[in-house]
Amino acid sequence: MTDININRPLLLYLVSVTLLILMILPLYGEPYMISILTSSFIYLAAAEMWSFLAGHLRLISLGQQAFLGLGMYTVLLLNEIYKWPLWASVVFSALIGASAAGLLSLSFLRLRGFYFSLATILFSEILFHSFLNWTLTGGATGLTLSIGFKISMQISYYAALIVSILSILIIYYFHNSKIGFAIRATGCDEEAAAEIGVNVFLIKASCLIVSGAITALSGAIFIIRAALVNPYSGFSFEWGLALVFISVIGGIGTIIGPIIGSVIYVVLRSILAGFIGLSMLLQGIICVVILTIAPAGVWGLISAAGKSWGKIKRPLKVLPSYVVRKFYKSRKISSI
Amino acid sequence: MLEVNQLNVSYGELQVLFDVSLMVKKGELVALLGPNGAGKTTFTKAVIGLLKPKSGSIFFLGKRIENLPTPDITKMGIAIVPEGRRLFPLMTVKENLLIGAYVSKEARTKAKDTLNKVYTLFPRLKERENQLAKTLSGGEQQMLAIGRALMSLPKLLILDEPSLGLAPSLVLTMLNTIKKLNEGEKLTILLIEQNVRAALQIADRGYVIENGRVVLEGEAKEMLKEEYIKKAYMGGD
Amino acid sequence: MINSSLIRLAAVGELSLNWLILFNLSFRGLLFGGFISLAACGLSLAFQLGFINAAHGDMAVLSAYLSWVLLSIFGIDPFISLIIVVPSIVIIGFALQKFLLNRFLLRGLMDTVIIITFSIGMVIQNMLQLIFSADFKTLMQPYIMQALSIGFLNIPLTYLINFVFALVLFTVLHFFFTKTFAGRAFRAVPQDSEAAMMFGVKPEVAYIYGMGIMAMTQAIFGVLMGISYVFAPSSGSTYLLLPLGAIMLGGLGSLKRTFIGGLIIGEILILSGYFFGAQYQYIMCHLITLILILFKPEGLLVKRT
Repeated sequence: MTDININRPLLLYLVSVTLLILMILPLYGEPYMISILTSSFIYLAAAEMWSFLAGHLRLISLGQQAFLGLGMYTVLLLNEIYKWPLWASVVFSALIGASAAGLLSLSFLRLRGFYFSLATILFSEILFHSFLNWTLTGGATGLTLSIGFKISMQISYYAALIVSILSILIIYYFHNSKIGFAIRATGCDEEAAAEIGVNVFLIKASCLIVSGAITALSGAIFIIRAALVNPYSGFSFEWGLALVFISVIGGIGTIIGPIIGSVIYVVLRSILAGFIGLSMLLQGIICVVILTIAPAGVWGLISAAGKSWGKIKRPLKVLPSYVVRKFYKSRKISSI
Repeated sequence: MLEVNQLNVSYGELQVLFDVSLMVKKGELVALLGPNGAGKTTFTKAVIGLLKPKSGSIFFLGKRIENLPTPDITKMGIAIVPEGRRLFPLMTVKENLLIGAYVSKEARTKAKDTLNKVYTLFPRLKERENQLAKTLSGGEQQMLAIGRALMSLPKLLILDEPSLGLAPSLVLTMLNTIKKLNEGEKLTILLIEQNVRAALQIADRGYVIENGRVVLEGEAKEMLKEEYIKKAYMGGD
Repeated sequence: MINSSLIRLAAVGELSLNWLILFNLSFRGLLFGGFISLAACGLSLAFQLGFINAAHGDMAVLSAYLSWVLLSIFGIDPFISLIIVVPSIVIIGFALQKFLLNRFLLRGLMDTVIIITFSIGMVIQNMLQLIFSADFKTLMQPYIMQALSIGFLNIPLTYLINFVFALVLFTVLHFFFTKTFAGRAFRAVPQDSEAAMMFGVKPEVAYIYGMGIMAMTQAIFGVLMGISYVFAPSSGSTYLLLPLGAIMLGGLGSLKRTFIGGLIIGEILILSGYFFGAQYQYIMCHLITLILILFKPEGLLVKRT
């Protein structure tokens, strides 16, 4: 029930080999490569979550940067100002992210579709303005995480790698467990799901909370080396757009999609280094183009091309039906 | 006026109508009868353009309409009182009626006069002119739905199960109104009904459809006497 | 967004609870609120019709920049530039809806539309930033910078003009939606689109014209906003969220409600600026909007059915 329906042993083999390579890379690779990979792991972790929420539960959060920023600021506050140990601050940031998401669930989940997305933007902007005016954290200029200068590239690499693996494992679990079934049911048709006994609210809330935690964690890991934290970097739409871009170009709702997407994103970023505006402009345009002509993303195209690779578990109702008919082997569209 | 030839309609893989042929001539009141699930509403949807048939053709006033979009079809002069009424719940009675006239320029210009005619036909609607459609009773909603269809100055009026959910006394009144429209206004009507006896009593001709196929057709008076009908739909002789 | 005259006024009363100042501010709040309603009415329409546009605020900002270009290069007065800007933005809106958004909307793919309009918003913001830099600009003209004194009321001219524009537009739109055939057809589409089709209404056309109306109101709002205040590429999200607040306060469902909601949020914005300082204005508004979404998503003034 994963994206690729190849046989398990082969999959495990490939994954282990990849992991092994990734793990020994810092010891032999050049710094530039390592920092690129570190960034892509962080984006990957957050994007997997976003992609899952958007693709399977139709919860399109346009304010994910709120969690990233919260993660960053938690570490800043706890470590820099209250002198907590770094690891504790990082872990706590995940808790903060989870609680914020919990708060969000209690209130925003009753909102349908567009309202939910707007509310997430609202949430993000409120946090932005709040931190902008909070002198303790340096207001608009922000503060520097002094410990950040002592953190080695290797440590942040491994931390990022761990978070992204964690994220993927969680998503994999969501796909393949009993919860996965409930989630897909909810995403398909909430009323029907409720009728067969699925606690729709609990499902959505759990997914939101988990994604909040992981996203905040990503933000925390991001700054343990990057060091400067201010509201513009933490809560900017740059993050939000990045997550959307990564998921869309890779393939919304899939596991492999964001992996491809985050690599593309980081490459794009480094090519256009220093031209953030241009990079965001291109991202936006590419998103629109992809959604119009190839909504299943790069991974969707690849999987469709390699027919022997089996079916894609395509994201629900985010794709037009002609895509579904093209890529989904079974005729019974209603069974999704 | 309306000519349906060998219509085959499917919902995805499931075929619902098989080689259905039907004809409604100008000035006639034709009844399309059959039990639940026989395909009557599917037929209506196909005629009005909400469903595209797999094969077969539908002609209205000589033009082929089966692949046209719904608004274009109704513009040609077909008005429908849909199953379940499908009124606009948050709009008032008057507004619902006025929407009916949106279809063509002619209907819009004559809207005021048509509105008065509808109010004469259904005085109750005039009383509830400014009430929201969802606050009306079943019978009133049915009147409103018919009125709305009339506002479009149709050449062919299709009524899809108008008696559904109505109290029996109201059914009688409504069917009489429909008969009046046909005889008085010379309005061509296609009446789709489950209530076989009542429908055949006012119709000129009838078709019976079962499991997606037309099993019987003929003059309404003859069909009333038909053994088959009596047994199947009117509980014996 | 508090202009200097207000601060002077406040200084006069030494920031104590001066009733005169308060009265003036409240009045301005109403005027400003009416203006915000203008931005809200397009969004309210979108909600009512069932089409959506996350780039709502960015359209207004785009209009402001367009007017700025006309001003800087051709010296065209901002008010006059409306004649060029409004149709341009409307055409862009039409094209956007017809060739891009309708493809997805008509198939019910709301989610894709959300993502696409969000992306478009980002494209607009960054394009503007690349062309014009992130600095704030303004369309303010010297002849506008006066205030009218009526009795003990001191009202900047811009507030009045904006309010009048808003009132006129609201009246026209209200009339359109209640008294014309086309307006009624619009309202029918979200209630039952198939039934609407049965009476000659084409939903795809409704969406296109709906977007057109939204573009028109946003263009007018954008230019007026540019004349009265300052704007930057990033202003887009504010002009999405403030109208959202207005809609939340007033309740969905009718233009009248949205207008009242706008009045309220205008008051909140101005008064919280006075009581808490300019930097907290937006937080207050957003916070209140958030609280409303939490507890009363159908709107403050709507009875819970």
